[in-house]
Amino acid sequence: MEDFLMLMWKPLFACLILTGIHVYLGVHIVERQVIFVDLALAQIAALGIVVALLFGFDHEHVLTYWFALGATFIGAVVFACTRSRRQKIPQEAIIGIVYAMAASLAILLLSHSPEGDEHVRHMLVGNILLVNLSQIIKMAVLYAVIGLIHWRFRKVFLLISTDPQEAYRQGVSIRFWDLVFYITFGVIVTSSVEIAGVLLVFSYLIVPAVSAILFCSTFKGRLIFGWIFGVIVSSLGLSLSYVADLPTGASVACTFGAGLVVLSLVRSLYK
Amino acid sequence: MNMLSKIVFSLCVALTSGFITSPEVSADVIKIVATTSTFASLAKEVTGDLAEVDYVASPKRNVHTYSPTPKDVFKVKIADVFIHGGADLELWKSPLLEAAGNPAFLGEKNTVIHLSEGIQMLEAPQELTRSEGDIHRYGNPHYWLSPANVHIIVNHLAMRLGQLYPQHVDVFKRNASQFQSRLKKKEVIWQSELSPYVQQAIVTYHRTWSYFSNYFNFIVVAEIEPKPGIAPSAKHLIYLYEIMKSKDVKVIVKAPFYERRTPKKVADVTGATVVTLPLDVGGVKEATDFIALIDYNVSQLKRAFSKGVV
Repeated sequence: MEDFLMLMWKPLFACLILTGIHVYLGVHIVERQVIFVDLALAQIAALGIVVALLFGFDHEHVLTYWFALGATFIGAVVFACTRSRRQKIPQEAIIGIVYAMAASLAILLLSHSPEGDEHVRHMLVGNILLVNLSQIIKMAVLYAVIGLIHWRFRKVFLLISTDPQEAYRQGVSIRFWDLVFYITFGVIVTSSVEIAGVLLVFSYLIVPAVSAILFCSTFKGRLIFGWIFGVIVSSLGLSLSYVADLPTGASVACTFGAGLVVLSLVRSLYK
Repeated sequence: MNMLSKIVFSLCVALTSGFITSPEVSADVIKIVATTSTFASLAKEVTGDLAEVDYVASPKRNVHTYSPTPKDVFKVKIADVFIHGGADLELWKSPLLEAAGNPAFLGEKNTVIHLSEGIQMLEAPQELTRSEGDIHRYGNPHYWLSPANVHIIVNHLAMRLGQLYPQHVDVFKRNASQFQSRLKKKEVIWQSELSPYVQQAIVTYHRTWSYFSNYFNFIVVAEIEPKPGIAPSAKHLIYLYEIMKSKDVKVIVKAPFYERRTPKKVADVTGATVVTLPLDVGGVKEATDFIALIDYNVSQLKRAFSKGVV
């Protein structure tokens, strides 16, 4: 146990921070039915990094991060602007298209660059096991700030996510609030993906939210359920990775899947 | 199924042996951890019984993109000496050292041994990059595939370990020179085995084989993929067909972890043979140490070349 904590306290801490913000955002995302928006935004951020590399900045350069962020903002604008009151084309279709285009464009740009390929791939893979203290602190501060913004404007975000038609009727500027939502979401996803990788971030967003829907009907209930579920699964997944010496991110992601299966069985038994 | 049994097996092993709780090691055995199996094997040649040597990255996978596990972090945490290849071979090295938090390896420490020191790097960029502090020696990091460089590596290891453990310096030096004389004898054999094929043009999957080809005097005329993970363009394929025809290329060399489809297709069109060569000790079961690794690669290449002649 002591050995476990000595070796794994940093990943554990990072996982708890991820649980805090991503479960909350995940409940929104599932409610809005834009499940793959995080994959698309992460890919857009990677595209931003590719462009920065082509301009001659290396991976560690400060401007590279701003390129990634800038690209994410553009993505946020696209997602905010493509929502309309009577949706003919589903939002998921736009997200899928943006994802495929961003990924392909990155391949095209990289095919003529002398280096950087591995760094960009690393950005989408991440490794939660090797997270360091300064990354954790940066993540905690940034996510706390964004969490506060969401707390301050929780009513309007909640209304738009759960009942957009009512929001339109009340005359809420959905486009503006969507832009705020996707920008804050993009900032979080960009930094989470760099630390934990796309798969793990995706699991943190979606699995707790979906599990919560099985048992709770209110937003608040789902949030609390998701948080508890996320904390338990993070601890189990990290233990599995430690005991069986398996890649950490994938262990936690699979534990999320296993947790969801167990909960669905429980749910169907006690209906 | 295979994966599942592996997981169950490792769970059992972990539970029964408790590998992670301090293994019983007598205090005077030096604990060395190297980034790759080849570096570990060379360190073992130099230290003999004086050290326990372990490595991080699996020799069966691409070392650049390896992703360390908790056990790897633990290995680094309890080690006395850390050996790495430098030159951006191990992109995961710094995060791993940081995660392990072993004070012996943080900052500029002489317990961290960097093996590319003293080696003539190939394909290094003309201008130095603007990164601050340490010199960015990019260039091709697969220098251990040339036996000539391995002499340098072994000398360097004996010297650096001798500075850390002056009481053992004579043993290190003796082990190193014994290994080198075995290696030299082998080098004569390898050179004569491959002598009929000197100056032959070959194609490689990626620029992994520059040092190896230099040493054995092959000419690498082209690479299958300009970048790993990015499929060659139609133009590049046509270029490959043409250059392979004009230079009479009979052999395509690839590492085990690269896909086989593209080289196979190119080989089918041009009548060449694809030969899969491991990069590291343990990459195939025959490659039990460095000499066995080169032995294996030489025999595979010889077979591929002679097939082309017939």
